[in-house]
Amino acid sequence: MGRFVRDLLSSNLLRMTTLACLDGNILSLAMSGSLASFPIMVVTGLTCIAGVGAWTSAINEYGGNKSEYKKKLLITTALISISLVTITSFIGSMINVALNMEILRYFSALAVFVIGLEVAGVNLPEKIPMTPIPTTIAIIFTGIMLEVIAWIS
Amino acid sequence: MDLLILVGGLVAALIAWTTILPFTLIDFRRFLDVGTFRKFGGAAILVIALIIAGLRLPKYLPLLIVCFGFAISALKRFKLRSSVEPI
Repeated sequence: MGRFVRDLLSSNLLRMTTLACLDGNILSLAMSGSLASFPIMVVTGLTCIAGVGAWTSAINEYGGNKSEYKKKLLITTALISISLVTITSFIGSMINVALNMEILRYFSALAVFVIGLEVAGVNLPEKIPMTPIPTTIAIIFTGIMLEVIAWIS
Repeated sequence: MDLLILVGGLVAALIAWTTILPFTLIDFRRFLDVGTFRKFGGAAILVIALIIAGLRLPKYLPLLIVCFGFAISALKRFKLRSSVEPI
């Protein structure tokens, strides 16, 4: 179970498909009400949630792999991603006040940059030294913390 | 709360995953040189990072890079296959 959660958290596909929820893309679309129109739904699905990054990660992580473990991991990733997008849309439709996502945007970009380097074959530390926290999760979490601090102050 | 927005988010996520799943079913390693494809894929993701950071790059650039990488790695694989064929 521990290995499953660890693999799930360090999955690039999960990060690529949930990043739009964290960087405020889905939230701002939901808050503006754009997500109610079908063309916007399609464009959001193909550019914000899926897209080149997610497709490349899918090929790298699961391409042709038919083991039960990988199947379970993929299904869980899909369920988490779909739930997170739906929850974000729900939150977005509930709040009308737009938050300033300036800081988080840069941290999301940094996290994607690290994923890009990993995919390209650059050897980077997968986890923060002496902790089980994946590097990209730590970057995004730092961004969220700073965003909250900036919002409060 | 607008229910249509909630459904919109769900539909968008479902559309996204219907495009992702085919990539996980086919073994692209048979048709592509994975090393080359990874380099181009990585470059495309780096461009996405720059776009998120606010750099004004064309939105279709990552897709172009991946398509180019797809073609190059398929060619490389094809060359490798034809070079080991028995005479």
